[in-house]
Amino acid sequence: MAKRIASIVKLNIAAGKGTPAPPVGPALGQAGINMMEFLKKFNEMTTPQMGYTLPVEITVYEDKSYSFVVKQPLSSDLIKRELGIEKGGSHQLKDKVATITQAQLEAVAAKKMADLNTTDIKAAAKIIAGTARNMGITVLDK
Amino acid sequence: MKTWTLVRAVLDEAPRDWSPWTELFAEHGIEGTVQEDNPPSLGGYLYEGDGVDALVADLRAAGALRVDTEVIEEEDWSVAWRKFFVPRRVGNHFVVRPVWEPYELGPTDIEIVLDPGQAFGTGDHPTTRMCLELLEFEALQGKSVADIGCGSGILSVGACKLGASGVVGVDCDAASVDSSRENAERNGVEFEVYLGAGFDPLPHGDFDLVLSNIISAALIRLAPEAFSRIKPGGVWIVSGVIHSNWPDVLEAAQKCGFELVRKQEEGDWIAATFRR
Repeated sequence: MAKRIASIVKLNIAAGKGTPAPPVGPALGQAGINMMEFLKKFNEMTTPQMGYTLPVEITVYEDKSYSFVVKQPLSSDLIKRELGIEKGGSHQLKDKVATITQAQLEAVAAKKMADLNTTDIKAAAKIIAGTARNMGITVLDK
Repeated sequence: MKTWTLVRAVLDEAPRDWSPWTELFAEHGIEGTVQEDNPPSLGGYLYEGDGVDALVADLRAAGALRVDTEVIEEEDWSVAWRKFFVPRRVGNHFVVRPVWEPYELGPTDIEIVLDPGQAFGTGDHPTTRMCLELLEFEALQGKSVADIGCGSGILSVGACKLGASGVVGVDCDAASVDSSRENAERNGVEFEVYLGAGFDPLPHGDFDLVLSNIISAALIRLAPEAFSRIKPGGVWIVSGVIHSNWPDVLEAAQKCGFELVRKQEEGDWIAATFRR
C-alpha cells in the first residue's frame, strides 16, 4: 500500500547551498524529517546548477520518511541567465533593465515547461513574458 | 536567543509563476523562500527582524492581499531533528553517540561523543560513516591530518582518537567552527579549527592525510591544492559524492596525479581514498 502523506513542503533554495537556517530549518523541523540528511543530498544533487535558486517539493509521509523533487530553476533566474543580466529592476514601470525577444522567451519557456502546467510552448512563453515584464524587462513582439 | 521574523505575503490567487515574488524577496537579501498553497502565500525569513518594514511595504506595493509577520525563536526548530541521532557503530571500532544518549563501550571501541549543533556530521549519514571507515584503514599514529569542511568535527575527532598528532580543521561556516571546537573538548582531544575555505586559512606545511567530506564541485576545485599540500605517499580521503558526479571527481583527482586506492559505496553515495 502506498505510504500516507503527512504534508508537502515547498521551498525555493539556492542550489548547492542549502543550510539548516530558515527557511529550511523551520519548515522541515516542523515536518519532523531528518533535515541534515535532506540538505546533504540536495546540495550534492544540485551542484551542477549552482547560481540558480531551485524550487524543491518535499513530500513527508506519516512514518516521517520523505521524498523530494527538485524542479527547474525559477523563471526569473532563467530569464536573467538568458539575457546575461545580474538582476531585474525593482520598479517595473520606472526602470527598464533589458529587452527580451520572443525567441528568448521560448528558449526560457522550453527549459521551464515541465513546471508550468502546459505543453504549449507559446502559452508557456506568455507566462514567462509576464514574469519578464514584472522584472522591468521590455518584451519585444518578435 | 536568536530570533527570525517570518514575513509572508498572502495572495488572492496562486500566480502561474511565483518568480516575481521570489525576486522581490531576493531584493531584500532573502534567497530561500517557503511556499504554501492554501491560502497561496510565499514567505521568507529575516534574521533578528532586520528590514522587516521595508519588505512588508514592498510586498504590499506589489499587490499582496495581506502580509503577515511572525517572530520565531531559533531553538524551536533547530533541535527538532535530534531524535534522528542515536548511538551507532561505525567501521570496526568507532561508536558515535550524541552527548545526550549513553552507550556501553566494549574493550576495543573508540568513542566519539557529539553535539553537532547545526553543523553537518552526526555519523548518521553514509558520507560521514564511510569516511570513518576509510580512516580506519590508515596507520595514523603521529601523522598530520587536515579536515577540510570539518562540520561538527567528527572526522577530526576520529583522526585524533586513531593517534594522529597534528590535526587541523577548516570550515567556511562559523557555527561549524564553534561546533568542532566544542566537540574536540568534549572528546578530550586537541586540534585547531580555522574559519575559511579550502587550505587558505591553514598554516604552511604539508599533511600526511587530508579528509574532505564536502560536495563534488568543492572536491574538484580542491584537488590541485590537495595534491600540493599532501606529502608524497600521503592520502586524500574524499566523500560526499553521488554516483552521477563520481566520474568528474575521479578524473579531477587523477589529472592531478592521485591514484585511487579504495572506494566505498553506500546507497547513492561514494567515498574514496586516493594516494599521492
